[in-house]
Amino acid sequence: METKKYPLSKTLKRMLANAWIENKKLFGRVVLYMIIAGIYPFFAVVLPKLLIGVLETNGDNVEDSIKQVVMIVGGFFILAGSFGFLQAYIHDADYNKISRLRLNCLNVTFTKLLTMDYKYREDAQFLDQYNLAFESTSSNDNGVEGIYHKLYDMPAGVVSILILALLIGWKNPLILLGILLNIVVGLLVEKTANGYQYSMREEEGKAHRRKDYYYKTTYDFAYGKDLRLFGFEKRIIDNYNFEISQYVKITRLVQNKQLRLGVLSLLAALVSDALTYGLLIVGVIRGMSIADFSMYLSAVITLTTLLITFSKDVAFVYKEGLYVEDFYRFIDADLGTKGGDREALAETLEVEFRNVTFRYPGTEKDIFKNLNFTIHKGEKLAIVGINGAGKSTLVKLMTGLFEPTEGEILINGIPQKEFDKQEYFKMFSVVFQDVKPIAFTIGENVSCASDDIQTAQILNCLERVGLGDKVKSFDKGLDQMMLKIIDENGTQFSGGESQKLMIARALYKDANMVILDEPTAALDALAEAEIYKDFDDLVAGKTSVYISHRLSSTKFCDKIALFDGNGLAEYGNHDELMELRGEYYHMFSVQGKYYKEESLG
Amino acid sequence: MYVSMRQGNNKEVKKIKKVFALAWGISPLYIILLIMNSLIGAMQIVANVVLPKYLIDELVTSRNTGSLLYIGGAIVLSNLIFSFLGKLMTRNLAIQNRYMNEKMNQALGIKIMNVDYSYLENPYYLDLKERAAFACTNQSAVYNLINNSADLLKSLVTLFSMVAVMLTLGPVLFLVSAVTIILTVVVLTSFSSYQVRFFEKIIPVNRKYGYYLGLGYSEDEIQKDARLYGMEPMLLSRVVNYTNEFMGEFNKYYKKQGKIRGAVNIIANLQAALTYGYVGIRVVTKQFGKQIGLGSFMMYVNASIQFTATFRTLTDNIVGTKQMLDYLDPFLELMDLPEVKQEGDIPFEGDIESVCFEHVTFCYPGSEKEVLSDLSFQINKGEKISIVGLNGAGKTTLIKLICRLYHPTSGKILINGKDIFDYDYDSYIKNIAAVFQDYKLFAFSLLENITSKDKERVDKGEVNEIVKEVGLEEKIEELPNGLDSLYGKAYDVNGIELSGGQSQKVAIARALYKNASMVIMDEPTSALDPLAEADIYHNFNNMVSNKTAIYISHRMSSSVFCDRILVLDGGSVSDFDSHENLMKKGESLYCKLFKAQAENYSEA
Repeated sequence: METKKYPLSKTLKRMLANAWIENKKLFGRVVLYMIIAGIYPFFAVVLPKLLIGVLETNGDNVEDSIKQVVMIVGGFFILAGSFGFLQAYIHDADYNKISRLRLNCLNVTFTKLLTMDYKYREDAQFLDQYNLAFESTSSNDNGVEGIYHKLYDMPAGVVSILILALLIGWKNPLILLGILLNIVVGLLVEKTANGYQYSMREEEGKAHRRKDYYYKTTYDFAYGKDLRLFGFEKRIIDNYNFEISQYVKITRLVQNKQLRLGVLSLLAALVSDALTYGLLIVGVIRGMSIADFSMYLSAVITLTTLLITFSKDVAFVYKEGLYVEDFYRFIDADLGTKGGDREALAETLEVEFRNVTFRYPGTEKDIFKNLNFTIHKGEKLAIVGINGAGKSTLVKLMTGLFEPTEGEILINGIPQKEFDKQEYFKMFSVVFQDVKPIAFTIGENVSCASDDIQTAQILNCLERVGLGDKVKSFDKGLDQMMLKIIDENGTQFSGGESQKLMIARALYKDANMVILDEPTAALDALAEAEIYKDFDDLVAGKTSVYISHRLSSTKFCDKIALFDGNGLAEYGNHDELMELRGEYYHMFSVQGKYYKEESLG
Repeated sequence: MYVSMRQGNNKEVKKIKKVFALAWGISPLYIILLIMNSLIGAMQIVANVVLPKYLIDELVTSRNTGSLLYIGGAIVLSNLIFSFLGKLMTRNLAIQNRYMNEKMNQALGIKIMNVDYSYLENPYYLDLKERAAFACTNQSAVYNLINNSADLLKSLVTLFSMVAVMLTLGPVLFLVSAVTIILTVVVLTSFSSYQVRFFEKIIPVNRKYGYYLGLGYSEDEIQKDARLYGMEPMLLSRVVNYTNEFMGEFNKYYKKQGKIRGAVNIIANLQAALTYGYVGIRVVTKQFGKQIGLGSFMMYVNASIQFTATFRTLTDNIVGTKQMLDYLDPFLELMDLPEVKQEGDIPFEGDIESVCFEHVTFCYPGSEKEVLSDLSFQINKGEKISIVGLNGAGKTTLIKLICRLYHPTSGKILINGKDIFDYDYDSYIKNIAAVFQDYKLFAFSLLENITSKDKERVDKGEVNEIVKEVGLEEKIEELPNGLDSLYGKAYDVNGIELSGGQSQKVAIARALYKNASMVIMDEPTSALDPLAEADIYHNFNNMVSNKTAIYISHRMSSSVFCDRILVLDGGSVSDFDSHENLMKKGESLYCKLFKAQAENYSEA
């Protein structure tokens, strides 16, 4: 990225165009602010000049002089007072309008993050790549909003700078040159220093990440038990100290460089200062009034300050523009496969994997290779297998969250790709492991929508998973908020209850196919048995898939597919697979051993 | 930002003292540098106010080239020196500041590692920690506090110097400045109370907004459901609602702030006008005191302007300091938590011969609910005990009590006849090896994870033996660096990633390596497939043959090979007997649980 030029002007143009679409009035306000705030600093420069002019020529008529003094400061107060008020008021009144522009960007990102293809969400590289994009909308002072604020402020600065530069340059071009030299050298020095810092960026990032690991580990309460029981504390503190020293070392390098370069900029400042004072003093010797002397002096100081601010602002816009560009790249990226035009099928589903090969994006390892198998209409299929055999991946493929690397998946003979993506999702009710409720009402957690809620339907689903009484125990019923983060009276479900709530969500959706991914891992034996018992009811008339480590769950399924590290290894019903005396038989016997001995004994 | 100016009570002074004591402990140099920096800054301001007087006086009167050169040179030189000192200070402060910041964060991390464990499961402290971390990292509260205090010093020194300069002209100039400052303070104070009320109202809205917006960014399981259940419209509408709500509020807020800042500008210009007017008149006439020259005119005017500007900075410093102190409340509250009192001093010797619960009742801190009530039972050396019960029966809690992570609310736990809290902690905990459901591994090498020791101090043969027993041998042979492979990618991208099952095996290996006389396993095999699970159980019995062992598992089959089963029901012991005897009691909870699972295997 270091050498890559990025089109700042294009980014800025687009930002302006967006602002134009969202708030045209803002442009008028910028012009207004430019005039008011651009002229404002001028009063403080002119006041001493006028006043000293009177004082210098202080004649015999004291009263007259006093009158003049009063008029000058009176005029100053009226003008500077009103400009000062307007400058602050306009600026602050517009501040929030600019924040709004950023928040609208956030909403766009939000929608995109929730609707783009799921595969990107599991892709760490992808998220890293766009990390800057997300950062660019995360605060008032940086990225998108930071630049908008600068674009608002800078025109006024330009006006002031032009007025003052004209004033100084008209009389003393050399002084103006000195100031410019000072600024240019300052910029170059800063650029070199930044370049150096940038070149250290990778090292700094690495040191930061390593240090951050220890920061997070010490802060994470979840490590508390193991730390205490196994005595890791001293090791961690020692390592942490080391990482901090490494991190600070890089700061020291950068700062040393900055200091060395800083000496250069001091020389430029010295030249500018010497020119200013030298030429002005010579001017006075040659007859310049003290009034002019003081005006030019304060003009020089004001101009230097304004120019420094301005050059910093330019550098800021340049730097933050990079982030904004990333943001636009993210917004523009086509991350949501729309799919074909087909609508969701209204019939029972058959899912066929045809020569499916799959590896996760950015990895080399095939999770499946040439997988062929079919889940027939109305069938209840159990998927079992050892850890890492790809059971959960299978669900992600089936539901369209990921697409096969090679081969295809057919739904009732129709290739997955022909379906409109959103329509495709409609056909599946899935209960994943570890999904937790979100801070919406119970009703919303089940229906996943805020309007068009069918209350009776929701209650019925909750009833069926055994949460009916629980919901009735709340005064607000379905409108009871969940979690405590939003509403301190929110309810918190236990692991088992949450799991049941997720099953209710699946039921409410009433899709043609039901998939349960390890739904009982967190449940005790009785709760587990209850879910097994209801499974028939839950999936009545639908094609369904049940994934579990617990082989006991396979018995109420029509077919069992056993996956090992190499794909589908065994397929058939329970009796067939037991007869096969293969892996399934082995697993089942091992797991059932103690139960079996007991029942036989 | 101008928040309430009411301050000065002892509590805040105490807080500042505390932060400075912490900072001084970390880096005295930093504090010294800051003080130096403040003094240099104040001196620069004084020089800028006083020096031009001599230049102008010289210009007005003698216009002697030699002395003009001399004074002009002095001004230019003083600028140069101060700029150089400024840069030097910036460098040193930047380095010290980063160090300070990291060490301050670390101090809290170390605190967290050392406080009584009970805090770590209390949602209040979890929230407190989040807020403390937010204050330190996002709001840079420690940094701002220390720097604000240093600026405060600079402001005070400057202020006194300016007053001294102004008073040489008599009291009027000072009084004019003071009156306008009081006016400013009145205006700002009226705003600050509005500000406090406003933020009290808006912070909860912002928090809610943050939660809903965060759902989009969150990387957990909700992303799958959001797509499959089409939740985006519901989520977005909530985000938009909150955006509108707080934007509406902020609109009012900023307009008000604009008016206030505008008013302050008016007052500042009024002060400038009055100052210029008054000092100007003093040049014109001696009617109001000693007549002064143009050089003094500039000096007094600048002193007055500087006085006001510094006073503004000073109020900002005070307000900022106060605000940072508020932000730091959670940090300080955490730093104040008592560290584990290493109660007990009897060294634990020998093995665990017996574990005896005597009428143990337990409620989590801050809760009234008895998770365990009046629990009494005894486990003897070498016994293999399975603890069984429904979700929420208190199984894990019981383990935490044995590990001294919590104190029983009432009753006692005796090991070898003595209350466990009477033993010296280190020698006690050596005897207990536990694998929790939510075990954690660290970004160390696998070897270090298992042994918690340096490579050099480890008997590799022993580790290899254990690795084999837990079934990790093959996996480790696959790894180029074997046992020296770094676990996880959090610390280094070249670290290795293990599956849930493999990680769990590492955790089990760690417990075995500890070679304690009691081993506790809380759902040790939940992430394992049936074969790996069976393997572990099979080997386990061999590995812990001469030890006391406690298992918790939802897999009822695992209790068959245990000597006795402790059945927990609603926080008390409903049965404590062998598998056979319990199965004979047809209606027992154990029997029900067992049959519920066994049924599914019975036909095999």
